[in-house]
Amino acid sequence: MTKYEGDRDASRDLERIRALMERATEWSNLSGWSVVVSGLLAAAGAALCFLTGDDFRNRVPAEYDVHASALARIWGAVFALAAAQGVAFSVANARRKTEPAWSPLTRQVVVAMLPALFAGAALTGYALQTGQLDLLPPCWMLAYGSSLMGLGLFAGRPVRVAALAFLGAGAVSLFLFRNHGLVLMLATFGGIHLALGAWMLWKPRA
Amino acid sequence: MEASGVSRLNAVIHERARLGIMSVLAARASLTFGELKTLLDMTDGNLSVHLRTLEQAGYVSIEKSFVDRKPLTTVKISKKGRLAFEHYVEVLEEIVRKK
Repeated sequence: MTKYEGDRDASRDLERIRALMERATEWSNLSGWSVVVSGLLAAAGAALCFLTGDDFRNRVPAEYDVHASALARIWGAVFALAAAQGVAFSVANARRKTEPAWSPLTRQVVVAMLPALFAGAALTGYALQTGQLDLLPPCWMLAYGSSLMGLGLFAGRPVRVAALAFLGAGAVSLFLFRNHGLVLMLATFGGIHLALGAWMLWKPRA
Repeated sequence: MEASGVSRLNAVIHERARLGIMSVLAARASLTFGELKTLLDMTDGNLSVHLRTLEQAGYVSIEKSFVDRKPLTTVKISKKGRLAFEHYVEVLEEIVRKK
């Protein structure tokens, strides 16, 4: 006959079931180091733009193509390198734990992140096509913040807080600071990533 | 009242370790042996014994394969297992409500 023994009871079992189900859907392969590297790459991208004078201010048609292609090259490289090293760190973490890198949970994480990134890519295309370079940083912050929120559903509260910071900065910069895109890129893609990475390294999840 | 409710709990799932296994499988549907071990903090031997019991009851299926030439054991919850777990949780909630 089924019975409860010791300090076990039905309400404690329900709490344990809930806690275990939550824990089972936590994605723990995100590396604090990879977040730090992402921040450093963004800071390097911003520094390069400062040096070359390729900011996000709108240009007269004669200057537009040169600046737009320089921005696309620099930030395209930053985002591609950040994504590649993020994937590499995650795969390494999975291998260290002898888990498959492309697990069902990882697939769910990717699916949660992709729609917002797709929206960001579409908006980038629109901004470049219409010559509105100053739209790029707010669009990137909003799209990346939304994507990060998707990741945060699986990767914990600090990631969700960082996502909110990206979304807030994106919304504010869209209406108020369109002429300061480079500073905002440094502060968000650089600063928020560095802060989040440092937090994750300082307080790793159990 | 509670005693009769408790007696309705599925004995196979009720064991503490097996309840843990079924809980995480209900959330994820499919997990590797390594993931289960980490999530539930169980030893290889202990986990294997309980998985065998759940497999015999038809609540989980166990698949063995190779990934990068390394053996990989994947555990999946079956439809029967999911229904049994859902019923177990319903009975548990009823016991708590009647307390």
